[in-house]
Amino acid sequence: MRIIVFLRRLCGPPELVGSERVIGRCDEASLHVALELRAGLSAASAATSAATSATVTAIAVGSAAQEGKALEYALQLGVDRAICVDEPKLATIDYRGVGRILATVARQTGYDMVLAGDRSEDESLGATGATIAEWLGIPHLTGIRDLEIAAEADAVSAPQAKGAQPVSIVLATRWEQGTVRTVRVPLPAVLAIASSSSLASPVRKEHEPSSRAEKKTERIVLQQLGLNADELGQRSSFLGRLCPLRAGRKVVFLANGSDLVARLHDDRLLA
Amino acid sequence: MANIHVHIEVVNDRPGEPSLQVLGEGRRIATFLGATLYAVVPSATGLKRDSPLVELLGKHGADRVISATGPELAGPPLFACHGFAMTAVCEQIPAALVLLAATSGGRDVAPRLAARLGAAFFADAAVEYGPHGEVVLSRRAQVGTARRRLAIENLAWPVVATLSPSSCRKSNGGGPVDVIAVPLSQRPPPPFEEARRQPDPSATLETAEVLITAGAGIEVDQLPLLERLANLLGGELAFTEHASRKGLGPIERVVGISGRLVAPRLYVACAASGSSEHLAAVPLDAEIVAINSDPMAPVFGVASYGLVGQTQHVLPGLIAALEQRASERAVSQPPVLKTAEKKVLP
Repeated sequence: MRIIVFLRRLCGPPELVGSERVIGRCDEASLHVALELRAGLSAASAATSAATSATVTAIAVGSAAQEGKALEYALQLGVDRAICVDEPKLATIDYRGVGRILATVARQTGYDMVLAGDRSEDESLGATGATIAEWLGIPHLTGIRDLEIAAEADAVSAPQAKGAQPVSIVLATRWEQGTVRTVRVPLPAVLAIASSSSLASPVRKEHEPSSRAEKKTERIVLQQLGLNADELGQRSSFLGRLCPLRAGRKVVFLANGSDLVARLHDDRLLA
Repeated sequence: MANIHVHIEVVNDRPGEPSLQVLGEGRRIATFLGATLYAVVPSATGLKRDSPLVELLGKHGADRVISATGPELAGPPLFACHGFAMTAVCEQIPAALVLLAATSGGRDVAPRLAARLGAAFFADAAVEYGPHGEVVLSRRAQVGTARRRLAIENLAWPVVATLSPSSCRKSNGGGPVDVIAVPLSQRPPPPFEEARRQPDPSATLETAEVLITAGAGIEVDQLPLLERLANLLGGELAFTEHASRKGLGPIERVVGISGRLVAPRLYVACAASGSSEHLAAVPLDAEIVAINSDPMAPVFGVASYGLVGQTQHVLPGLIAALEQRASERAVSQPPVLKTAEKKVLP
């Protein structure tokens, strides 16, 4: 199985982003899900003495100088390949254009499953996974909390090594209006990961480092995908104008709980 | 501005509450701009003019109802099936603005619908009405430190937006409406097969009007104080991801980009410094109260009110003040006597 994971460096004010984090929380979850799926498939293949057929490729789009750290992080965690589509003009491209770039590089790389973080911490649109799927013409599902390979062995969607466990269904769990629902999603599909139960444990599970310890990020440019940044949309028009949150309004510090209660009452925030 | 579509999620043969709230906001926008408001209902069976569902949609502001039917549309709303219905509707009756509720279903349908229509996409928005007749979609951005504003009038392209239901108000007083049946140009694929389902008791966080969030600075012996605070404020107790990893609360009650996206009116962040993934999940119009021992904590940059101090010292005083206020209110509002118990004064 060829698993692609799309990543992006964590964007935002340093005091909020923090220095220890490289990628967003949802991207982190999708990366760990990909590596866990690979580990699970490898274990299943070993149990049946079949050849491992799962690979994880991490891909980022943007300036190589900025996205490089995100991909280095993915390599350290154990992905098999890391690819950077080096495009300094990414900030001018809207969500449709970004989705088109990601879909094109996925098509060129080859995939059975495409994972992406459900939403980013800066713009938090939650559009990337859905837009990639639209350009690829395959199903998608957003807001996924857990992902596992289904036990059923259906017809394979890609050539598999002899004896390898055929996989074409995943079980995806979502929170839906008061219900936790798990559905079967046929592959290939784009799956937008919001969180993963494996990240919830206090001690993060470390994945086996890639056997190719010196693996480096591969760099390609947009022209190699047959695309031109100037033709890929108008980000500012689609996104809207960025404005200060409160136009100069600052926090009101109160001295104690009594003062806070009185102020909340005066401002009609307490019933 | 010609047409506005509002996607309606149907729950037990009734429009879901978030959809009615968004329909209400759609009514206000349509009235403001002189547009026609359509309630779009993808469903398994066709709708009739006199059906209770259609009457409700008319009552809550729709000018017309569009019915897109197919057996594949019976399940929960996901793009996998509802997206095809919405696309067919938008192709046959184009809209300048398509609104969906910012629910798990709306968030799955909307972005891909926007991409398919070549539309701008705006997520988890609130609506502002300007003094010169402009309608602006507004949302939190840049890790909750700024806002994005998109004026939707006279755009050269359509806009698909999910609206935060808490920022919308239902409309009332509308009358009977006609139903337009829109045939689907292609049959939607079968919905994803359900493997299992179970209740989600923590889903109440997503609609709670008051939320108290415990951050990583909270110690486990302080949790009863936070539970008492939540009880006094009529709210729910949630956690940041750092607090959850510390073992303070379950991941299902985490507020954050990777947890619950919430929409409270009042948000109390206790000993939470204000990480990017936490603040980005709190909507634009929430009033934030920050309680933190560090006066330079980033959370104070986005809060409306702040208390600086150790939570073990601050919370008891805050709880005492709320308890006193509650008892004063109880005293000033004596219980209503039943008729048989009324005493006759001399």
